[in-house]
Amino acid sequence: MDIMTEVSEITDGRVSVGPGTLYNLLEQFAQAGMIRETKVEGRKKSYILTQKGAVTLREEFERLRKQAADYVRLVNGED
Amino acid sequence: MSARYKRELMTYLLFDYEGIEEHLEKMAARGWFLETPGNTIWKYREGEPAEVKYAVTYVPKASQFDPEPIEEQRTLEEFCREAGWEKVGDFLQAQIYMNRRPDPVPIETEEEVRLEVIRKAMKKSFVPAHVVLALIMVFNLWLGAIAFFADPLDTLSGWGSLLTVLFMPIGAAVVAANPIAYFVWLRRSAKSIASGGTCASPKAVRLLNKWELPVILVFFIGMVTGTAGEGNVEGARYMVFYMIGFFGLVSLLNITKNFMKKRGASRRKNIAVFVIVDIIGAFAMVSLVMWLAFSTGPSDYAEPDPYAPEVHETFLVKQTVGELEEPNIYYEVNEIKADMFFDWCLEKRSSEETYRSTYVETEDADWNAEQCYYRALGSWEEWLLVKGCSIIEIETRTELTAAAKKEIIQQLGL
Repeated sequence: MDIMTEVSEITDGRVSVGPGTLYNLLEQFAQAGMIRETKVEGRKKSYILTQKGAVTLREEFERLRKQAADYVRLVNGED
Repeated sequence: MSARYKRELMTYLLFDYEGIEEHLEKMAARGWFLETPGNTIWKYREGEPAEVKYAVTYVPKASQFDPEPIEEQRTLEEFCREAGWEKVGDFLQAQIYMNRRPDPVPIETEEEVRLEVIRKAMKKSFVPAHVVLALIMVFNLWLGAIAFFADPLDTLSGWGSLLTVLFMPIGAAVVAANPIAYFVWLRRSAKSIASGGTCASPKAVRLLNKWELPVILVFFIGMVTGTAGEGNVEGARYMVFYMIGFFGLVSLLNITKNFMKKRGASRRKNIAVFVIVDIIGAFAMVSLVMWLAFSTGPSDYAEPDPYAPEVHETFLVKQTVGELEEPNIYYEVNEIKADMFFDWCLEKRSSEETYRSTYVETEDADWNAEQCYYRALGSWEEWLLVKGCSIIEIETRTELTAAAKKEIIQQLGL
């Protein structure tokens, strides 16, 4: 599935990734070893998340989750 | 009906994507659509005025010497097409796209990524080119300053030389302003992005670049007319031919580059040919300009009167240079109109060293001057006199008697 469309769909249109940004991010992620090219059909390229990419994604998710938890605790007046 | 075209000088800096986008959108609203973006001249085609969105993005690996778009440019084009953006063209590392849909998804949606790409792209051509240009300008400024501070009288008395001296610091400042503006913009943008904002807007330098050419043109016309007005027609012709030659060389280089691209020459081959044409062309241009300016001229050339004084005058200094037949002397009378320059000009001229000989202040009532300096240079005797607001220099091979000195003062009307 096309990444730009998928990002928009899974976020209910809240997040849009521009083609320039996507192109540069894919290049940066590939250079950092976080994604790997699996298939090239004409100009269409397919990528897969590498082990390093999955760990980085998990760490980023944890960071955001902790931030959200801090917010919830603050708003609910816990502790 | 055939299409109408319009050409325009491109004054935006390569990293100023915002300025370029706004300008192209305004042009489209007036019915002019960018067709060919060159490095200096942009060609527009007339069409129905429309609200069109333009976006400028960058491919750092792209080069103006590539025979066709490189892999990175083609992939980006494909991505952009998917999002409704059509490629208009490219210049250097900048890629220009347009979108006719209302409120399209922008090409760049992450400011941090955008800034990093611009930084990489500018490192490739903009920064080295502008830094080298600024260094050349600073070097020229330094050479000009040495000549000016060594003896300011010649410079202050001629419009051509005065405008050249005034233009050099302005030119150096304008040239240095572009790389400085880029680094300031880079820093401001990084700061803005770190606090959740967007890239900064380089509005001040945009305005500076817009007015750069008219200012240069005014100074150039001033220098040419000033030089011609002082009787130095050959010098004025040299300036005009040099300017024509410079633009001719730039055009020749562009034609060569485009010809090589059309023939499918590789980037490396194109750059090699470009450099060779540039070196040979520069030598040929300077030789041709020198020949045209100094070897050709009016055929009814008359031998000038050797005793007719030559006068150079500005609002600061009036300089009269000439020769007297009897007593035989060469003279230079500098009437300083601006008091603030008097002491400085006198100090510079009296301390000037020629063949290891400098002036020594002396007493000589025959000259009837407020101050008197003397030096001997082999068989030559030189006098430097101060009378009122004038600094007078007299050179002679004959020993001057008291009567001869009075005669000189009288003949020079001092």
